[in-house]
Amino acid sequence: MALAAHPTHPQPRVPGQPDMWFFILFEAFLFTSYFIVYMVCRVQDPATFLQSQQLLSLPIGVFNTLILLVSSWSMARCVQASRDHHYPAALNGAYLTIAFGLCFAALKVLEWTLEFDKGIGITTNEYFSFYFFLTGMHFLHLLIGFIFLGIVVAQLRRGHQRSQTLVETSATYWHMVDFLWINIFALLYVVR
Amino acid sequence: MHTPNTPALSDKRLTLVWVILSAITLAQLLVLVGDSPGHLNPNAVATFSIILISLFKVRLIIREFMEVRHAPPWLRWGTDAWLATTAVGLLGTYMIGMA
Repeated sequence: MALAAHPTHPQPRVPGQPDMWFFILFEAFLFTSYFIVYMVCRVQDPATFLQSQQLLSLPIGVFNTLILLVSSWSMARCVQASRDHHYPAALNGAYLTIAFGLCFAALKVLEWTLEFDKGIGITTNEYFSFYFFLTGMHFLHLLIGFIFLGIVVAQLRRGHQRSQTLVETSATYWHMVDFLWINIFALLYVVR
Repeated sequence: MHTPNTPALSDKRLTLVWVILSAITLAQLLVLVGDSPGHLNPNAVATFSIILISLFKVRLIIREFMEVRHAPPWLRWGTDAWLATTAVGLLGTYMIGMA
């Protein structure tokens, strides 16, 4: 009854396991330190960084951003559906998220391949060292994200004793992959 | 386990957030294609806008998709502290470096 009387002011709760949040905050601050080092180097040689970033494919970068955003949306819907015990809908959300994640990975590999074909590599200049390091680190996190998506699917397919906490914890990791990319995209592809 | 809103309301809210995030991303693209290749110059206003808009997008993801808006204060403040640190670190470095 209390819940019905205050439907928009629920009790505060941590989504998923608190340990995952400590890990995510640690990772977020770690990436921020990478970003600041990148910015320190960028302001020392802005011409080279601007010239180099024009060699990237902006359409692929934007499309990949949109793909990760829609993957986060489907993951959030999956969590909601699972919480409401709508497990088939939740599973569909999880499969959609995996599909979008695979699209992102395929496009990222294609983008790297196009860059290698142009003769661009990690040793080309300082900008591309950062580019391959940051996108490579992000790709590693994306691959780990697939393990968490597998955990979500496994939980949702269980006939009984599903763990909503594990579903939420895994979803939290996946959203981190999304928001890290948004910062990487801004810094590598867009800033002036 | 409680449900903050009805499922239909939650779905609509999530979809609205996704539409806003995608619209901002596409708007950024439309502004950027206006730049002529080969003629890019450092631009403090553009850089500040881009970084702040990106952090706004990240905050939307954290608050809405990650459900931090319903989280205890330590988590809401912790995530906001990270966003503030990132904003100050990046914009401060840019300002000092380009001065």
